[in-house]
Order: sequence, then C-alpha cells, then structure tokens
Amino acid sequence: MNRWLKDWASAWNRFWFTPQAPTTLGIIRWLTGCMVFYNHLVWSLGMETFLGSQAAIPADYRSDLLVGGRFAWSHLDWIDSGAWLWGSHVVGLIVIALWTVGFKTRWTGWLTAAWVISYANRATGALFGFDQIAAFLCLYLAISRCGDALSWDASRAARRNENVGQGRAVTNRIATRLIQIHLCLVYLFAGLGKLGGEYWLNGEAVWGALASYEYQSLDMTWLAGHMTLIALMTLVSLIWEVSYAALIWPRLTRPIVLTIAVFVHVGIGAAMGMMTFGLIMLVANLAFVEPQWWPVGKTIKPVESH
Amino acid sequence: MGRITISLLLIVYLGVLLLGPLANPVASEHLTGPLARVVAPVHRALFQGHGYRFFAPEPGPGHFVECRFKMQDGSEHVSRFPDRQVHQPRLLYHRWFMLAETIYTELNGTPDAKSFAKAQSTLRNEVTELRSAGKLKPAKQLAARIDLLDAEYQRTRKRIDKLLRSVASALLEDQTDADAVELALFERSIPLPADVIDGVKLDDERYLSQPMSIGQFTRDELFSSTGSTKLEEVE
Repeated sequence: MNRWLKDWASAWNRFWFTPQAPTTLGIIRWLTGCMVFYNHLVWSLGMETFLGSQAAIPADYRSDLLVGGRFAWSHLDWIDSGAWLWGSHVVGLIVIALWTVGFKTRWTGWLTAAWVISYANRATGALFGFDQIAAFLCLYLAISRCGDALSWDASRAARRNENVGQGRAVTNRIATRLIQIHLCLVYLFAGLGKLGGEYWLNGEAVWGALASYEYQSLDMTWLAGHMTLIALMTLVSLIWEVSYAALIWPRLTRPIVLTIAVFVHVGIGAAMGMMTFGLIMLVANLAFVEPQWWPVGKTIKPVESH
Repeated sequence: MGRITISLLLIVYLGVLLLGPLANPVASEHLTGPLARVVAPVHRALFQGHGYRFFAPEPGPGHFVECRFKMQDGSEHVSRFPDRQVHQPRLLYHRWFMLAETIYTELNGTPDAKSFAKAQSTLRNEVTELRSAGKLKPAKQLAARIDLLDAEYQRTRKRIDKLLRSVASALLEDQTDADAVELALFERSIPLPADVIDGVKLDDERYLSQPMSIGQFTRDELFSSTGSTKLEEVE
C-alpha cells in the first residue's frame, strides 16, 4: 500500500511538476493572441450594439439568467459613454497586441485574460465555443512563462545576454497540463452529449450540420448523394470525440488523434462558417505537441526556474 | 508555494472545472446541482462552468429574427438577423446568429402567459382535491411548489421581456428613420438529402416554419422612461 501511494505521488509529481520548455506555449500565445486580437477587432463593428450600455443584450441579463450571474463581472458595465467605451476598447487592443508579441508578458498575459473574460461576460447571449476556448487558453497562458519563447521579452533578454526565464519552468508544465485536461473535458462532454442524439448514432448528424443554411459557408450539399460518406464522417467524429480524452495521451495514438482533429476542425471552420472556432480548437490541441518537436526554440537551456 | 499546496489547489480547481459540464445543461438535483451553485461565483468570475455540448444532442434547425421597421414616411423596411449579406465578417454574423438563437431558446423554453396560467390552475385544482381528501401535507407541498413556479415564471418573463425590449431598442437606434419595429422569429428546418438531390435549395421557403410573433415595439414606448411592454404582447 505504501509503495502504491509512493508510486502515485511520484507519478503526480512527474505529471504536474516536471519543468517544461516554453516553446509550445510561446507558439500557442502567438496564435491565441492573433485570434483574440481579431475577435476584438470584429467587436469594434458591433461595439454599441453588443457591448455598450444600451446594447441589444441588457447589462443585467446574465445576472438574471445565470446562477451566480452577479459574479460574471465586466468592466464594460461601469462605462456609460461611447467615448470611454471606445477608449477602453483601444486600450484592450493594445494590451492584447503587446501580449501577442510577448512584451511584458507576465503583466499583459493577466490583463489579456481579464479583458477576454470581461468581454465574454458582457456579451452573454451572443457567445459561442470560440469565446469559451479562448478564455481558458488566455487564463492558463497567464500563469505560465509563455513569454520566455518567441517574444519581445526573450529577444530583449538575449540581447542583454540575460539568462532570465530562458529555461524550463514548472509553471509551463502546469499551464500545459491545464490546457490538456480542459480540452479533454471539452471533447468528452461534447461527445457524451451527442450520444443522446439519434442522428449521431444513425450517421446523419454531419448532414444536419452541413445542410443548415444559417451555418453554411461552403456548399457541401453534393454530399447528399453520398450518404455512406456522411455516415462515416459522423461516426468517426463521434468516436474520435468520445475517445479523445483517452487516446490523446499515449504517444502511439496521439498523432492519429491530432490528425483527425485537423480534419474535423478545418472542416467545421470551412463548411460551417466557424473558422475562428475551428482554429482556436486546433490552437488548444497544440498543447499536446511536445516543445522539442518544434524546429524553433532548440536552444532553450535546460535550467529549472520555478 | 510548496508542491502540496499547489497540488491541493489543482485538485480543487479541477473539481470546480468538472462541475461545469456535469451541471450544465442538466444537473443532478441532489449532487451536482447544489455543488455547482456553491462554485458558481468561481465559474462566473473566470468564465468557466460551460456545458460544452457542441452540436449535441444533434444539429438542430437554425433560427433568425425578422425585423419589420415602420418608417416615418409610412413605408416599411424589412431586415433580419443574422443576415450573411449584411453582417460581415463571418464572426460578426455569428454574434447575430447566436443572439437569434438565444431569443429562440428563451421563448421556446417558456410557455406563454395563457398556457402557464392554465397549467397553474390545473395544479391548484389538485391542491383543492388533496385538501378535500384530507391529504394536507402533500397539498401543502404542492401549494408551495405552485408559488415557486409562479415566482420563477414571473422572473423569467421579466428577463425575456427586458431582453426583447433591449434588442428592439438597439435595432431602432441603428434605424433612426423608423418609428417602430415588429419582430418575428423564424425556424428553418434541415432539408432531407433526397430533396437536395432533387435540386431544392437550403434557403427554400418550404423549410421555414410559421413565424412566431415576438411583438411590436414603438420608439416612443421604448425610449420613454415609463414605457413597458405587456408580457402578453411578446408571445
């Protein structure tokens, strides 16, 4: 029993506390930052309609709708005038841009996470999967040292010949694990939810998704004459989603699971007009790519910095 | 912070995280529901606690809201949201689409005042019958439930009414030449593959449901401080 507990403790330590290089997280920061920046640029086109004090969705809608909704904070609730709304929006865009390039990443990371959460809370009722995934990515990246790779901060430190943050860090490992586990939960419950639907099991669900006029962005109706292919795509998607949480961890099955992820998410993005959602899911999947697999960041020193 | 402290924090956090999809959209009344209510402040503050049921249990019909503006010159202008021609880029379209879906979910999940009153009346008759039969305890429990349902219903109708008025106000803010707007919700079902093979388009009108009238909102009523839409009007 004692041995068994020791093995557990040792495995737990390895899983959560083995220092990790920042390369993967640096890449995820760049991609998430670009997407969050784009999202905020698009919010600019609907500022007053979705985020202003007189927006289409009342500021207190979320507190009426959600359990604990009054904790769904947003700094936008405190802003009454259009000028302040736009001023705050521009500040947000600058902060997100700075975080993306990795400038003062420790600070801009937390600010970006706060900004993303604040906007998402305010726009309750106009949200979709992209907002949920972007929010947790920003949150977990904020606790990591993702600014130690592919960043302004890292370049500046290198120029000054500083060794600050150029090594592997435990916080990188914790952030990576949180992204990985969170993603497993997302896929698991998305898959389990589908098991209750007749069309996923009879193989017609992908048709339902592709033939929805409101979603359609690419005409895939030619598949109507190939229902065997539709059934195959439906069942592969379902089995992949349900089994993701188990099959993504072994090195033997991970490349297969990640390859299917690319097909599924690019497909959703291209055919159903949700490229932002498809891409952010793929960005989150990068957490399963080991830092040493990247051609960049090979020079990162194996120095522990807790 | 030591590893033990961090480990404990991680375990607690992962539990909080797991409660999101375990309690949303369906929760156990005796376990995950009460626990999710306890951790709701964390869920809301960190924008967590989602159900992640993407396209589950199955891809359903799409919805859009038709807006009929009564213009000051007496003419009528019709628009809709989402509208792929108007709402560009696609991400903006998707925001409008989600707003239409939210309106649908709210209206679809809440009976109109008449139906609710009828259901409540049936329950009240049951209370009377239970009392007549001398079953006072179940009668009391049912009466308490009726009060609870009533309070919940009033709260929900108030929330929906406020949302719809707010949507109408935002639409009229954009359409400055309009005096009023009438909103109606449409549902578009998924065509059968056989129909599509026969050449029917996805936006063919045969797939549209009868519009569900949301209500008519006038500028005067919406932008006066005392104006209010009667709940009956929005069904």
